Amino acid sequence: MHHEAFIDLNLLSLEVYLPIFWSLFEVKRGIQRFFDFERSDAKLAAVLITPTLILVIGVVAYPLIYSFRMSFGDVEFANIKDYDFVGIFQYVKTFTDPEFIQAIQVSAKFVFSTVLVKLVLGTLIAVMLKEKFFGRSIARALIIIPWATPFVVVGIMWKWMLHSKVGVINFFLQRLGIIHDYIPFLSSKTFAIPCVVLADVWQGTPFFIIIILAGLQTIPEDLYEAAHMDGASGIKAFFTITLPLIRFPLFISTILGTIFAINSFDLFFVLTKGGPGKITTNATLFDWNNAFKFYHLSYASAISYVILMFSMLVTIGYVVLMRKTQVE
Amino acid sequence: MKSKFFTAKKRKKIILYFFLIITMAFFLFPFYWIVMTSIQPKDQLYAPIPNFIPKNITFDNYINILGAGRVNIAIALKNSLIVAVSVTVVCIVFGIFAAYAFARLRFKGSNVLFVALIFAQMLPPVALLIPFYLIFKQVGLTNTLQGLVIMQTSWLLPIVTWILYSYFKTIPKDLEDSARIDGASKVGALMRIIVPVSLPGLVSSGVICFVFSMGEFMGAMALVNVTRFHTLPLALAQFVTKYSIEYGKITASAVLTIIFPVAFVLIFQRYIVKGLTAGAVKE
Repeated sequence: MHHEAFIDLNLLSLEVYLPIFWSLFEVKRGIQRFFDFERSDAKLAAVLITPTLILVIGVVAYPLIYSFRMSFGDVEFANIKDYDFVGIFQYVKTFTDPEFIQAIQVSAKFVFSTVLVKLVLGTLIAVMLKEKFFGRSIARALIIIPWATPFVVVGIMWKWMLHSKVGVINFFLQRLGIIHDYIPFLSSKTFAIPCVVLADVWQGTPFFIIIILAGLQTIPEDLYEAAHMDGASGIKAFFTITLPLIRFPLFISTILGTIFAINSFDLFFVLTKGGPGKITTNATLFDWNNAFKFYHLSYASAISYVILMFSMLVTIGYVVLMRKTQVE
Repeated sequence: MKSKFFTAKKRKKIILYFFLIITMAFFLFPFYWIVMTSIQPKDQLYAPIPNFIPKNITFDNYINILGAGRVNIAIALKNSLIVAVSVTVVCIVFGIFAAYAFARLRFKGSNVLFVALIFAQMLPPVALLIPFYLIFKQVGLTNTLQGLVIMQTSWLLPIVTWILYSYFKTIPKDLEDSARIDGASKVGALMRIIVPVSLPGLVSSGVICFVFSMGEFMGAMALVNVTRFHTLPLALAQFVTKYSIEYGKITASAVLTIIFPVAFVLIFQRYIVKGLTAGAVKE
């Protein structure tokens, strides 16, 4: 029996191989059909967005779930292998930890002041750069450079200029008669946060200027001429025509600026290291310290989620706005 | 009162230039100041009256930081450039793919995925760092440049996709259709029609990636703790925090750090403005 079965399967006969060829052919046709992008958008789309999805969803979503789980445990770096579920313990801790509450307050002060100053300054400078004058294009080009400056460098620049003994800002202020003695700005309880705001405003205002200026350029000139005929010009025209028409760029830059400011870390780290005391430790720096200095991984994860909730609220506003403009 | 110098127009010009000079001084003086600091000998920096025009010029600071020292800026510069160029290339290629899919193809779930991308872009990076660190450590990506590339690419792809998406949307569909009638495939039309037309968008998102990558600090600090793989921001921060602060050397390193981003931004200034304002201003 065995012998006969063996004879049946004649390895030299072509017919034995036919099913194999046929299935290979099927596979090839399947592949061809799958990559026949002309017939179906979905397949091409699947191929095209897969790398982005893997990177963004994989490298972003998976870590989020990972740290979500961690925030309900009691993991320290030393006992990283054993995870005990402790429920919302870490979250309760965040809201009862005076240091974290202080850090939130620092963040709030910083976000509010830096966004407000950038918005006002950005609008004024954008209005100025919209005027026609000699050297306008050079001015517009040069004003973007601070935006391209890494925050660590921004921190170093301002740390040096704000130096308590040989800082050029102290020198100017003394010469102008505003201060009598040099002030140790960065180690002063009063001036530390304003100094971080100053450096951040220097770096971030150009972004606001670019967005607002682009908005200004869409306003047709004859609107102003018509308003001029009606006796409205100058400041009145600014409030009745300009501001309402650039409300969308203003919204967008405010929302993006708020998110940047919530996540601000480098400047705090380089300029003041959170000091003096904890005066300039914002929520992000506090989170970082807990994670990578004290290794309270679960507590830091919970803090991360609290920060994430705050920025999500802002983001939802952003997405709603984006969708709205697409519909319009 | 009819003096030529005090017509309303003239007065407006004078006020304009006055504020313009103050504005430009505020934004540009810090650059001037770190360059000046970096080319002066050490003893001049601590003079009671700052030298606004240096008395002696020296390039010792630059020679010192580029040689093998405690903080080697040459290695950091090389690392930073490798990471930034890789991130830029990967982001542009994947960004083109994804943006085309979202802008031109109909498929189930495209809206949901697109919104998910925008949300991903808005996540606070610090919230991702602990899991990044632990996962990257498991697969051996901490203390590597590849790890930095993967992390930064995942942070930048959403914004690149968004910029290119708004670009592709502005390209008339007829342009693509006529190519398709001439027998080009969808992928062919993408490569031969859409990509060349949206070159400004590609340039602007490329520069944005490059600038971001050259400056990225927090994530790099979490993933890299070996001097050999330090990027420029890490090397600079180490300068500031670990050793006694030598401002001559620090400002020299800072100047080297900003040369590339600033040069690119100045060269491609127009494109960047278009890229940054994509979506923020209605066309």
